[in-house]
Amino acid sequence: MAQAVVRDIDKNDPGRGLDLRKLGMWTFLGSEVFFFGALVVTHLSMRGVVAPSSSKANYDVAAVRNLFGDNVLTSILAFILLTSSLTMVLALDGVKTNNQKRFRFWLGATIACGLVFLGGQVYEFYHIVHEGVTIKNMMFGSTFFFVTGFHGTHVAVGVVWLTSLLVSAIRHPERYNAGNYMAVELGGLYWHFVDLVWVLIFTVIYLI
Amino acid sequence: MAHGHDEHAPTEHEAHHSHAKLYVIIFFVLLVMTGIEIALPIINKAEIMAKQLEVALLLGLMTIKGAIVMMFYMHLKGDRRMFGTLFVFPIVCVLLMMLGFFALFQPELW
Repeated sequence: MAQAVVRDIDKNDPGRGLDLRKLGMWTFLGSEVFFFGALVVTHLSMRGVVAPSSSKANYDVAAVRNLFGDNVLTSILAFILLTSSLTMVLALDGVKTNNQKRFRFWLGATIACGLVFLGGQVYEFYHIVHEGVTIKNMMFGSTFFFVTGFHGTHVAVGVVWLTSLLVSAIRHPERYNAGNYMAVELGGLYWHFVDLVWVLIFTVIYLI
Repeated sequence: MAHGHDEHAPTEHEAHHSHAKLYVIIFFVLLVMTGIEIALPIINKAEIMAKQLEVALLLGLMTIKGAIVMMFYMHLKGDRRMFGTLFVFPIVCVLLMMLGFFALFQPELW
């Protein structure tokens, strides 16, 4: 009898009350923290190093950092990503309250914010490369492009993920509702994580 | 607590209570903190405070902003403690590592 009960628990609730998809997502995000932490710490230790063979050997790293000016562009990007976090949580709130119209509207707004952010980052990269800082000619460039490039890639993945959610929500309006919103919640967790990483990058790389 | 899909989850007719107002208030709090972050290095060009203090303030603001996003937007506040542990432990490790690297490679900021 007891064995049968245990077997039933294992079969019906292998996570003992835990949602395994959510557990998996948090574990994944935890590993991502180490990934971005390693990249940012590498940037901190290497940004003052100039390759001896580089034609930019005498390039003053402080001058390179001045390319950011008073961080006008990156401040706008920070504002956009922060706004996208709000729109994402409002989309989740929409689906949890069974308001499909609000859910789709805010999800679309989040995707739009992500696309604008990516456009801004491409513009920033173009500007910096145009000024002579590339991924090859100095450690500042290498580590800078690695950190911000990987973050941009994560934003792009997030945009694709949320777009697939939106398309699915439009094609099957009954799919997401107050009783079934885990897919939206997982997408939201990923998106907020991307915003969190930008909070770190913005402070450590651009402001300090 | 937010469970996506279980037998106790509300049906289509049992919608959750909306927290939209709280999320908007939190957004404005984050916005103000970001504004302070952006303004700090600009104001301190006149060297009204030590660089170390500026860095400490920026790192403090960054940590508080991150904690607010995690607690309210990622719903760690009120969710299972295990999720928080899985996510916050690596963050603490990274922050400590970052402080160590600041001390080692940028002693002028220390």
